[in-house]
This record gives sequence, structure tokens and C-alpha cells, in this order.
Amino acid sequence: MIFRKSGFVFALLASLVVLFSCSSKKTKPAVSFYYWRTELSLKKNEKAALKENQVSAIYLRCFDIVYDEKLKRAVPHAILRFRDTELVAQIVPVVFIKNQVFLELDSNGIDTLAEHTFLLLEQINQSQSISAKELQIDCDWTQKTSENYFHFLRLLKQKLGAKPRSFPAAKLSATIRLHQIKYAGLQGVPPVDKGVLMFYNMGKINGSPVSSVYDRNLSRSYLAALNKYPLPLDFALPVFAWGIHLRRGQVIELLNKMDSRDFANKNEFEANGKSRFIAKQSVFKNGFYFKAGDEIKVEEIEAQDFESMAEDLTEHYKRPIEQLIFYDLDSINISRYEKDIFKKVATDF
Amino acid sequence: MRKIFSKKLLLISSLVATVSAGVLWACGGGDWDEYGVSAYTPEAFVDSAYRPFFYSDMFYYEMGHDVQHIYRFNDEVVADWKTYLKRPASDTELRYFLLTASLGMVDSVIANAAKKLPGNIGDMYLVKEKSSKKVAAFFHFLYYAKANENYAAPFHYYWDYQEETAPLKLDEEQLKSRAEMEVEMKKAKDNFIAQRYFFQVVRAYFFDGEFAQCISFYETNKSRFPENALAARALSYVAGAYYKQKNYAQANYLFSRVYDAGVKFKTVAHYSFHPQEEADWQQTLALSKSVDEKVTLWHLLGIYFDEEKAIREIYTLQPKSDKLDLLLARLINKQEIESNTESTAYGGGNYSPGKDSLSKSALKLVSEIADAGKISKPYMWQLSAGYLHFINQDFNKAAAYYQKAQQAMPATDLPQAQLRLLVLMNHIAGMNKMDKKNEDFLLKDLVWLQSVSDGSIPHFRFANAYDWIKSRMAGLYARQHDELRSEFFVHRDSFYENPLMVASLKTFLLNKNPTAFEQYCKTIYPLSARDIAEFQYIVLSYEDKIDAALKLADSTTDGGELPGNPFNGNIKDCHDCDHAAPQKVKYTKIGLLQKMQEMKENITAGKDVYNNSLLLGNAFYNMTHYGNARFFYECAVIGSYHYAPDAIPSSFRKMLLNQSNAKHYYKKALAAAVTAEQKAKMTYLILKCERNEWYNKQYENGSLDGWSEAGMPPINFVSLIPFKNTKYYEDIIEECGYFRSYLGKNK
Repeated sequence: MIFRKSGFVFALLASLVVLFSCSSKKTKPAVSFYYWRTELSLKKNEKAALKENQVSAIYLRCFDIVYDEKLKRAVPHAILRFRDTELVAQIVPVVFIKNQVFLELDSNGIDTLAEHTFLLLEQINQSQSISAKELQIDCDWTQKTSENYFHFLRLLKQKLGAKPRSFPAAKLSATIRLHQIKYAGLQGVPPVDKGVLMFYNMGKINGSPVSSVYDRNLSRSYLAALNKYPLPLDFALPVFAWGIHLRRGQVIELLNKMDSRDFANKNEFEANGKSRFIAKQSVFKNGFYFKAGDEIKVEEIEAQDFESMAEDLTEHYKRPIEQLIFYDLDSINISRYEKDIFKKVATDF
Repeated sequence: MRKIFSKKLLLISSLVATVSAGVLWACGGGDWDEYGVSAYTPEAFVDSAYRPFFYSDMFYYEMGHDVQHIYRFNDEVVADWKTYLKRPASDTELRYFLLTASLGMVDSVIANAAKKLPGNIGDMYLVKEKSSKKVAAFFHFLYYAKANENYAAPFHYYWDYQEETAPLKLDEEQLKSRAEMEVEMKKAKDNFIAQRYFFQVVRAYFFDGEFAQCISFYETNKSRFPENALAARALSYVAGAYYKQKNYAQANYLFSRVYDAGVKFKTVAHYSFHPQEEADWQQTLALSKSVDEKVTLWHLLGIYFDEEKAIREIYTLQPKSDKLDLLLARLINKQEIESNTESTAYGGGNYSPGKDSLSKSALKLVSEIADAGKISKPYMWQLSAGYLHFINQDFNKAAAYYQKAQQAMPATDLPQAQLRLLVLMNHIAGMNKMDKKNEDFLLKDLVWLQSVSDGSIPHFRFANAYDWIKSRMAGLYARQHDELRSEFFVHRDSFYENPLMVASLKTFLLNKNPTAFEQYCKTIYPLSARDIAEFQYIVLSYEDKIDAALKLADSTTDGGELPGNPFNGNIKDCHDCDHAAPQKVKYTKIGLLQKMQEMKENITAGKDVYNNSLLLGNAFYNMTHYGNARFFYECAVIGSYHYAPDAIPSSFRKMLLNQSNAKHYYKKALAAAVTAEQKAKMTYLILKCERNEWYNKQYENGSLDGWSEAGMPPINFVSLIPFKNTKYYEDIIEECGYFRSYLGKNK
């Protein structure tokens, strides 16, 4: 009887502790940005955005890794050049790896790739005196490549474990796509310290009225699995926009970094409903060629979309959210919003 | 999930790595080509200089990406020097020094007497002659060229940060060398030598990131040199320098000039051509100094973005330009792809042009130009207009254009074949029935098309069209209820469901005096009368008409030995075990049937009814998909290596899964059984057939496919219980887990 009673008291205490810690977890997430250009050189409004929004870290794409069909090996591509060396925020190196790399390489190839990747990252860090607290790998892996990819991640983790100078006590993180959350059983969970859920690119790129970047209804089909995901998650939110170039309803190309401002009230284009435009004549613009009659569907994230994202993500992810990472820091993107919107978005989480 | 009878339904262990295979029923090989679904061959009319720009899935036709940058001019460089030196220097020597030798080696040759050099070098003609004026100039220039090679043709390690991100700058040595080369150019009296220094200096400025100087040096000195390939190579760097300066108008204009400099320049100039805004494009047009130049600009725009607009512009400027040909071919190839609907009304052809997606403005444009006849190849435009009208289903107009095209069509193979194909397609499209008259009318062309199927006319795109022709013809025959002729053009398995049709097909194939059209049908049909006969006796066997089957079978249709003993009847189905087990007697297909016939006769005569019935039951069981003798039914018609019931063509599935023959003979055996052991065995084997029938039902109602694990069949083992004292009953417990679990639940 005694035991039982004390057990009950203990359980009660424990539940209080839980309740207490639940209510105290509500600190707002830090604001960070991805930087995805090939030259690090911040424009005035980009620097201002870092300050205004008290940005804690820049997730800096250092290079891509692609598979070179001719050389039959993996090579770095578009290695970042530094023009600005004074940065107000912490740097987290990010490497984007094409999934094809893990389809093509064998286990020895993966070992070499991990060596090369880490050495290049160390060189980059040393060249800028960066000592990074985190390393992030971005790869849209599939069930077929998970074994190779996860092996690669384990090798990187080993290297970080040796605490090299440019990565003292750094964590390893990996980007996670929505389908990888939903089908975690099939696609596996990467062996990393934490994941970053890319909360965008959820739909098909086509001419339908639904946005491929973010659609609240589409996102809901993925959210149920969120809380069960075995890794702690940060959230990457989209601030980019693009146009989808359509001809006779078929997608011709993506118009990167173009938004409504490029087409609204321009002589060569006329509006055709919300965020849609028609080319009135054949014309070059931004290096793209529009034929008379072509249609442009602009996909951009509006300020109120962030509210619905916050609502849905906090409803379905019950663990503390340490960080929001906005994709991506670019003057064209941030100029669509109020200057301190990112800081405000964080308060919704 | 628990396994049933210790095996899943899929008895695939011996077949895991195989896929079902059968006759390769004719379906054109063209559907995976990089040009997509096409019946229009650009090679027939367009100059091969424009080949990389033929419409394709790849960036460049038959090439993918252009990766020749470092090697592109190797042959020209060697040939130029050979002409200049006018000495009997071999190509090997020239190639060695120009393309392979290191800077150090060139330096040694200059600094040392020939006899001090290694024998293979010292003995070279050029080395021995190195003090003659031209050869000395050659080595002198070569020294500079090698010293400046590493930035123009760099070696990549890729993983070194400094190396990969080093700014575009020459080092001190290279800067010094550039200055010296400027001096060399100026002092060289020989223009051949001077131009080579000129090129080196332009290139050095470009790689140093000194774009303004690159441009001004070129402009100041270019007039001294002829407009040859080397001049165009220098011009490419100048165009690149403008591009780097974001002077897109000038850059694109110059790239268009490079495009016209020769075949080897076309891809690289095209690749670099990128108008950015309408304003710079208009400036580029304004920069052009002649109609020819303007034509090239529109031609490039046409390749990249807008064939129709470019054709209009060029046609106005210079209707006889050959730059129109490429754009027309691209326009037609694109229209073919865009207007193709995926399926045809009948059969499986994948070429099916539909009028709905055809660009009416393209149709109008091409027709108008063809009508006006101001172009250099009116026959190409007439043929193209005809083809677009064909896609638009206006077959009379198409025919009229083809007729005009015929008058001046070049007599060479490919253009003639192209016209003949399109005319044939138009004929067939306009036919609404197939009768003797139409057959005779088409015959010659069909035989011709069959004869070129061996690829004897290079590049000719006929495969998709031939499929479409066959599919149209099959459709017409089917509409007239002539299933037999329809089968020749498009095969359907269901044709073989009707024994009368099968018999008529065999008769047709056996006919020794076919008409010419019938002979053509025989030629295109992939099966022979022998294949049909084999199929027929297989079908009769499954109908338990063994004697009739034997009458049809002969040694030519026997087809080898069965891999296992077809008279086995085990508790567990295990093909691999049966195939590996030693066999005293091996059976062929016919051998099996003969033995079965003998057993049937024994039963009729009342001889050992139990054993004969049991063995016949086993044989019929093994002949089904569940048994160890699938080989019995594998043939040209049915196919082979069916890894699961869904891999069997649906027309034959029921026949090959059916358990009733086996059950019939097992029941006969049960009726004749005397001992409890015999009764136990027959009861069990009947249950096994019923299990299979349950699986068959799952397949029929769609709740099971070949890749999923089967559920538990509701077998009522209660009929076995009376035999629980038999050894066979013990054996079942031993081997059949499902039975054990049944007993566990039903104690």
C-alpha cells in the first residue's frame, strides 16, 4: 500500500514537471537564413535584414556535389566565393548533393567522397576563419540511395567527432523533404543530430491554380507524421518566388527570381487573374523569351501564409522548435516583405 | 504472415531473376529515339552543318552537350602548321610537339643540340631542322603557346578550394609572356606567325579578366590578318569579353558572326548566344551590317525559341537562305511531337498525329511559303506543307502538296524515301476499307517499307510511321470483321482464344500458293505454322484431348525435355526440388502426352485405375502454372518465364491456372482407392487443388497480384481427419505448417 501511494505521488510529481516544462518550452525559435548564391556578397537590404531580424545564423551553401558522367566521379560544383568577409551571423556550411551521386558511387567511392567533401569544407572554413557549430547536408535521397547516403553521413559524423579546428563540437544536420517524413518507414531516417524540414516544394510544377511551393491543403497530408518523426526538427520556410512559364498549358521552364513585380503593369504582359499573366507580344525579359500568348504563373509566399504555416506546424509538432531557416536570403525575395517580418513570424511559433 | 504449405503462392524460386518473355511482337524501335515520335527525317533536306540543332531531347542532336572545347581545333592547328612549314615533317611529329610535348621538352629542343636530346626526339626531322627560319619560328612560338596553355586548357583536380576559386588572373610569368608575345606579333614579318601571337595575346587578356584590353587589342590589330578560323577563334574571346562586360547586344552580335565562321564554331557560338532583354536584342539586330548577318541572328533566335517567327523574318529578308531549312525541319518535328496523341484508336501504335494540337499558324505559314515558291528547296516546303495538312487530316490537300513535291524531289535515297513514306501514310489515312484493290495498291510500298526495316537507308525515320500504318490497317480489317488479316498487322492475344481463327491462321501460313499480298502478311508475321501447331496441341492437352493433341504434335514441335518429373505429386510444391531431383526417365512434351495417353487407355480398360488416375492427376497438376512442368506450355504464342499469374497473357491465364483436370483425375483415384493411405493422399491432393482455386479467385477479383503475399486460404482440412492414423497424415503434419496450425486451432 505504501509503495503504491508513494508511486502515485511520484507520478503526480512527474506529471507536474512535464506540465511545467511544457509551458516553459515556449521560447520563440531563432531566425536564420539560407544563402544559396555562388558568391557571398551581401546587398544593403540583405545586411539590413540580418540586423532587423536578429538573425542568428546563415546557412551558407558552400558547394554542390554532382556526378560527372564523363569523369565517372563525383565533383564539387559552383564552389562559393567570398566577397564579404564580415558577417553579423554565425556561419553553418551547407553542402547540396545531387541524389544521382549516391546512385552512381559504390562504397569505396562514398569513402573517397566523404574525405574530399570534408577536406574542402575545412579549406573553406580555414580560408574565412570559420569555426562552425553545425554542418548541414542537403540531399533529396530516395529509398534506393538511402544506404549510400546514410553511410556518407555516418562518415561525416565520424570526422566531426574528431573535433577538427574548423568544426569544434559541431552537430550534423540534414534537410528532410515532406515525403521523407510521410514515408519515413520506407525512406529511412538519416543518422544525424537533427533534421530541417523543408516546408515547401510540396506540389507539382504545373499550370493548375494550386501553388507547387506552398499550399495549405497539400501540406496537411504530410503533417500527421510530423510529431512521430524520430529526429528533432528545425523548419525551413520559403521566401522565394518564381514564375512558371507555360505554353499551351505545358510547363516550358522555371523563371527563377521572377515575381509579380516583373509582369504587373508592363506593356508586354497583361494580367490574367491572380498571379497569372499573358505575354501580349514575343519579347525577351531577364534572359527568358516569351512568345505571344505564353502564360506565366507566379508562385510567391504572402505574409499571411506564414501565419498558417506557424499554426499548422505548431499544432502538429509538439516539441520545442529551436530555429526557423528562411530560404533564401536574397534582396529580391526580402524586398517583397516588411523589413522585420521574419522576426515577427518567429513569434507565431 | 504465415506461409502456406511452407511456400508462398509464388513458386518463383527458380525464376526469380527472369522476366516473362514471348515473341517480340512487332512494335517499332523508334519510340525511344532522342527525337521522339517522328516520321519526318531532317537529314533528308537539311545541311549536315546544322545537324547538332535538329530537334531532340538532348541539348545537341546525337551529341548531348558539346564537350569538345579543348580538342576542337587540334586537326586544324596541325594542318595549318604543316602547310606553313612546307617541309616533310610528319603529322606524328607535328602532333607530338603541338599537342603532347611539355613546355620543358620544347625548351630542351630550343636550348640543346639535336644529338644531346633523347634519340626518339633528336632524330625527328623538325628537331634536326630547328635552326632553319620557319622551324625556329615554330619552336619559338610553341614555347610561348605552351607557357600559356594551363589557363586555357586547365587540368582540374576539383577538390582544392584555392585552385577552384582563384580569381581570373594571370600570374607574373604569364603577364610577362603576354607582353613579349605582343612584341613578337609586332616584329613578326610573317603574317602566319604574327596571327598566332595575336590570337595568344587576345586569349591572354581574356583569361586575365582584362576584357576592355582584350577588345581593344583585337580591334587595333585585326585588320592585319585574314578572316580565317584562327581569326574567328580570337573573335569568340572578344564576344566573350563583351558578355563579361554585360554588353549583351554586342556579345550576341559577335557570337552570331562566330556561328557563321564554320561548322566547328556552330555549337559553341549557339551555346553562348543569350539575349537578355528585348532592348539588347533589338540593339543586336541593329548592329548587323548585312542581310546575311541579320538572317543569322533570326536563325539563332529561331533555334532557341521561336521557329515560326524566325522563319517569317528570314523569309522576308532572304527567302533562299539555307538557314530556313533547319528551322522548317525543327518546326515540323516539334509539330509532330506536339500533335501526337499517346494512344491510337486501335492497336498499340504510338504514332498518332491528331489535328487538335497542330499549330494552325504553322500550317498557314508553311503552306504560304510552299505556294509562293521563292525558297531554294520548294520540294522540302511542299512536302512539309503536305505533312502538316496530313496531320490536320486534310488528306486531299496533303496529296496535292506531295504531288508538287515529287516534281523536283532530289533523286537520292533519303528524300525519295521520305516522300514515299508520307505519301503512303496519306493513302492509308484516306482509306476507309481494306479490299483487294486497296491491298494491291499498297502492296509495293508496304513491301518496300518492310525491306528498309533493316536500316539500309541511314537516318530514315520510318519505324513509328510503319507501326501506325499497321495499326490503321489492322483497325480497318477489324472493322470489317476480318480478324485474321487484322492479326497480321497488330497482334492481340485474344485472337488465339478462338480455335477456328487459330486454325485459319495456320492454313493461311501453310498455303504454298499465296498471293503477293498474302506473302507480305506472312513475312511480317513473327510466327510460323509450326508455332501455331505447337500452340494448338498444347491447348488440346489442357482440354484433356490427349489423343487429338498427339495427332497434331510431331518432332518439329516437341521443344526439348521437361526439367522435372511431371508425374510427381508432393505434399509441398517445390519446382527447384523437383527439377534438381534425379530422374530415371526424362520426358519431352510429346513423351509426356504419349505416357498420359497410355494411362488414359489403362483407365478405360480398368487397369490399375488408382495409380493411373493419380499419375494423370499429377501430370495435369504439373502442367498448370502451379506445377513443376510450366515448360510444357511455354511456346512462341503463350510466351515463357511467367513469374506470376499476372505475367501470363490474360487470354491464356484461365487455361494455365485451371485445376479441374487434376481434380478430376484425383477424384477418380480417390474413388478407386482401397487403402487408408491412398485415400489420405488423394484427399490431400484434392485439397491442394482447391487451395489453388481459391488463389485463382483472388486473382480474378483483383485482390491479389504477383508481387504480394497471399492470404490464408480457407481450407477445410476436416476431410483429412478420418485418416489420422495413416503415415501420409503424419507426413502432412511434418511438411505442412498450415495443416499443423489448423490442427492446433481445432483440437
